[in-house]
Amino acid sequence: MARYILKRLGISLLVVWGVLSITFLLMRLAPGDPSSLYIRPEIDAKTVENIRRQMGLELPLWRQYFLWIGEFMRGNFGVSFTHHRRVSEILAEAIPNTLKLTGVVYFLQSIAGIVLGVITAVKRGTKLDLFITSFLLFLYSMPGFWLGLMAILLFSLKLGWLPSSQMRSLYVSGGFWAESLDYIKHLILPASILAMPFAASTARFVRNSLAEALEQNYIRTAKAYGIKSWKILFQYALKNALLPLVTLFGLHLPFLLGGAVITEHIFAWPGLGTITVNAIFAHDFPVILASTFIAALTVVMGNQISDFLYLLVDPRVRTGLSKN
Amino acid sequence: MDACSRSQSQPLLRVRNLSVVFKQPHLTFLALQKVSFDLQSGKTLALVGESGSGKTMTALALLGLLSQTAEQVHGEIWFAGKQLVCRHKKSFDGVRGSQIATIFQEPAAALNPVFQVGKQISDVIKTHRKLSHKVAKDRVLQIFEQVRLPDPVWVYGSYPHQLSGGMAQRVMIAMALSCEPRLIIADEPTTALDVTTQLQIIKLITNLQREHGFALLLISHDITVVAKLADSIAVMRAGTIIERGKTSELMIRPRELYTRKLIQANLVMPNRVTRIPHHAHKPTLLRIENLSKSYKTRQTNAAQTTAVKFVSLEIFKGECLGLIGESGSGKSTFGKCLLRLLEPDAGSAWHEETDLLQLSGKKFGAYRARFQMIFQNPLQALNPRQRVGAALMEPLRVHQSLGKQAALKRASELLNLVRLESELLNRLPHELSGGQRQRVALARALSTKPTFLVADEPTSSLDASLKRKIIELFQEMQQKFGLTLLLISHDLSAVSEISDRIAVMYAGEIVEIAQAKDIIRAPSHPYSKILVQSAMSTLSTDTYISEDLGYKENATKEKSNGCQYAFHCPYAEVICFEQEPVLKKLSEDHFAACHLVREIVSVPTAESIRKEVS
Repeated sequence: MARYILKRLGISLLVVWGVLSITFLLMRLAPGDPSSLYIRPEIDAKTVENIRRQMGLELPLWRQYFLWIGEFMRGNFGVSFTHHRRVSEILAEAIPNTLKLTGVVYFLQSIAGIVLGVITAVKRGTKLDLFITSFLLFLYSMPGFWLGLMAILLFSLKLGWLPSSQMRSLYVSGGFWAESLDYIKHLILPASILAMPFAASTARFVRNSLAEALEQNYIRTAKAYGIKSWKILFQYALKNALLPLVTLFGLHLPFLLGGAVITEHIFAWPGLGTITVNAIFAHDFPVILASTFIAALTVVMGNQISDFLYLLVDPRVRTGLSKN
Repeated sequence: MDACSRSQSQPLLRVRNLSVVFKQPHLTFLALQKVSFDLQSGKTLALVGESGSGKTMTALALLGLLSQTAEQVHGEIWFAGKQLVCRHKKSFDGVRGSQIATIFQEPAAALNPVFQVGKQISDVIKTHRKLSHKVAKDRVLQIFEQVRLPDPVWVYGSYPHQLSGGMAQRVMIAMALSCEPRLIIADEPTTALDVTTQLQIIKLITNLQREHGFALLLISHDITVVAKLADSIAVMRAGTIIERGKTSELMIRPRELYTRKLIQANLVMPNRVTRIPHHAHKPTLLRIENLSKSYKTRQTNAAQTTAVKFVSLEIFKGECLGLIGESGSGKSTFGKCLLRLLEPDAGSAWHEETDLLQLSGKKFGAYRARFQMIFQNPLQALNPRQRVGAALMEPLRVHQSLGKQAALKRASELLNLVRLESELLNRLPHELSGGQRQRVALARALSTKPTFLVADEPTSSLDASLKRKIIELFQEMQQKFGLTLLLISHDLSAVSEISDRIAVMYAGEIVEIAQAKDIIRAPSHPYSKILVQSAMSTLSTDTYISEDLGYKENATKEKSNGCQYAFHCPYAEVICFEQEPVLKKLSEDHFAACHLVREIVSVPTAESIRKEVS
């Protein structure tokens, strides 16, 4: 078992390294140069040359690559070209914000997905099922940026209920509770917009999986032995139906991070997504590479963890492990 | 009080004119038609019939579990003086589980895979009795003892996948007993189990009924199983009861032709084996030497489960060799190794100077057309998205490089060959019946004109009368094409009729091999004896149960250094535990691996054999 885990960890690291190397090369292929930010008519060619040397851009590509990877492995992500701060500091500020957003999204989508999934599974074939399922399909197919913009138009501009951007208001007084309320108000729009497609996909998954579980012989047994119907639904069937969700959560991760980039940008949420988008526009290589690294690591590890969790929750697999 | 006194004078269960109608867009389907019967307290009634005759439907109606699509339900069900109304779910409260309990067909599927089996039973107890968790658990452990489950505490905390089929069925029986019901409905309780386990379960149910005095409604397609247990039998066909009577009368003097057929389909008469043994000087098709295969178990990389142990035998050209043994005896592994669907660890299989097991995968490919296999469950063996025509044409185009038109023509010929209409070419596997599917699988195997066919439990997913038809078809095909057939089954009665020779496998070894008629008339190995006796169960029903077949249940799990069967064997002596027996020659072509059978040292003449045997 330990060997199996080590092997998979090794493969994961290889994947992360591959993603980073490709990103490194792609950035150089794209037109433009970080130094172009500084080029203005009043700056002479020599100064530009100096700036380029400072950034290490005059070296041959392979030397840049090895210099970068050497530093990277020692945990030195470098200094941002635009912010003139250490990349690690920038990430340390942004990552918690993204974690809060995605954490809330995971929570919301699980609740909504499971509740809607159970309702549609129990009522399958009825008009209610048809209505909810079609609505979910609509949410699933709408692009997040469009939904986001529409939500801003409606709830922020027209109705004025919720703030349209940032994480907190500039001036809030009233202590902890007022601040928390302000924070939650800012969170509602981006979190629910981002959660929608995932809730839709989870709901469809739970619906099919629960409907299948309800058809099984062991449910007939439970009925034949007079077990209460709520217990049959929420305990006997639902546990069987929800086990595969663990894997689905791992599969959702890359799309969640991708969605976060766009959603954060629209709502100016100061997280990893906003920072990455700005860095790409500015050719800020160190920041791009570092945030790519974080994203790749999260996706790969998230999937490993969800696979491993599945082993733990399913008794059929678990006994195989524990005997070892 | 009133209900109680009335129920003593009335039957426990009274069903009158029960009819169930299903409506689908295109047809109205009468699943049950005026079914009526009574069942007295403590008695056993058997419902017998082919699959689709409405037996299970009747049981589901009694439990109020008919599916929502049932359009109309008529008739009355009275249980212990109380009327149960299918449409009115509330009327089943306090009856289902506590007064009427059910044992379902496939115990492994009937138990919830993600909960401990003990919890599932204590849930039932807690639903019907106000008991604390501790008391309920003690009660479960106590019932586990009653159904003779070894190590009740371990079983309580285990999940269904950790239990063997027999143990899972015992758990299911324990669940049925948990609230001391007055009626137990047993729906094909032994069908999914192998022969020796079937016996134990039947004995267990009989003993429990004697102790607890519940009434039993037994549902089965196998009238012989039923005859051992039931006081009376009702034969069902197409949703109606066509004949009913006391078991002893009905089994001996069935009125309906259909009943007679059912009885015959399930019986094996030793004198049926009339085929002339014509192999004696037949050339050998395959000579298998020391074939071995072991599996690495998942839990421990070191310990291995040996599925096949140094098996050597010859398969003659044109014969049908039956290979029987209980599940897990290694018979399927053996068959798959011969066709290289599994790679054996050691051994050789000689076919005309070539060792098939040494060939490279590519070279063996040339033999694939000639060596074919048919699997147990045709629904799983056929691609669910591939139409019958495509499935039949595929091997033709691969092995015989036929064009599309030619292949299509041949495919339809093949269907006719196995007595199916050409129209079925456009069907998908799930649109066929079980018997049709197995015919398609056979046609597919025959498409490449094979010389050798391995059939792995080809009939065990079919019911009795279908079984017979498929076996007859095999026989016909074998004679028509001069096929050599290796017929693998856990059921002696399925193979005995068409096999020339029978090999009995136990724990990965061949324990006896002989002419089919010799095995059936005079089995030598104690294990073969049990297999034969359980297959030959006769009409005299009572003798069956009182007669102890000597199979020791729950034998210790430790392994014998000598004979693998020693712990189960009623005749075992010291030598059996110490020394491994080898196959001994008993007569010209009768071999058995048992220390206690007499060996014939010199090669005997036919005359001397006759003397020796008598």
